[in-house]
Amino acid sequence: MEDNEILEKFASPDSRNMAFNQLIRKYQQKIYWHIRKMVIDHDDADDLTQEVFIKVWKNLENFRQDAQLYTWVYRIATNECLTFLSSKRKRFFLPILDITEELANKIDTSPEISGDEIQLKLQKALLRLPDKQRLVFNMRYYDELKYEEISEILGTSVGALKASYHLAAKKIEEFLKND
Amino acid sequence: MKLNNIPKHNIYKVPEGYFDRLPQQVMERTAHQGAGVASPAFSYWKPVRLALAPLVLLLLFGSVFFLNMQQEQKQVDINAYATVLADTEIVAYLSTAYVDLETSDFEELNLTKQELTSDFINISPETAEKELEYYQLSNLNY
Repeated sequence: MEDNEILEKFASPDSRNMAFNQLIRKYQQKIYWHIRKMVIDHDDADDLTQEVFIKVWKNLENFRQDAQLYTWVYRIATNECLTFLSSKRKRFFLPILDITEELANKIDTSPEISGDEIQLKLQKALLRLPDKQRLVFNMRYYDELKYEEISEILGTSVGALKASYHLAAKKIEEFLKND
Repeated sequence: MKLNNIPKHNIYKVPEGYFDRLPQQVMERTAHQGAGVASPAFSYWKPVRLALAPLVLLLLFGSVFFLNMQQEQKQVDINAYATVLADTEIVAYLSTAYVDLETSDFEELNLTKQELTSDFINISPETAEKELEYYQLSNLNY
């Protein structure tokens, strides 16, 4: 189902649930993986994904169609991730390196993570980037979004995003070389 | 090592059937959320709240400014009243009222002997002695 159709059907109380169900089925994987790569843990990603769709449900009627639906949903997911990571740091009074350690530990020990050595190393190297830079890298490298789309989601200029991505790639190559 | 040499592979896994269950779980939660959309009252409240914030601040600053002005006015009134009163009248009031005055208080006024009240100066030795006996100075510990 196209986004326009979902929005039209959502506007009518009779077809609202059906339309929303379609919306979840259409975007759940993209949103879940976007969140999972940021928070690493499945349970956290599951909670956040559900929260994102609850927020979409509550606010979809006020959604202005000057943006694309999927960039709007992505933006909600991105904000949820950043808020989650920031509150996690505050809650445990941990500096950034300790959070990085904690998430890197999960990569090593979680039964829901498996990959060869170089892929695990890459994920751990990514954790050493600042959250926003990691987001940009994931959206460009894994989700293969265009810079224009990322710009719409994050509200950052294309130039700044390009610079951020190339800096992130350089840092990661450096981490991989030194490790 | 170059990033291009690393195969893009998703290392994260989800429990089996997770994406089949997720829509149902979310739908159940939305059912508990009531109508499912933010109420119009709530959607209007946000801009109203934003507009009210500077108004409340303005009101607060206005109140503080007004109270400050009143305080200054009161200060001015007291000063104006004090200049109208003669020092001798103030001394007369203080010497009859139950106020503990020190010699230094009178010294600060820079009064001449004539300006002091007659009650204060024209006191007979007997009266002074009586007054001192009243306070029973011998019992006081210094």
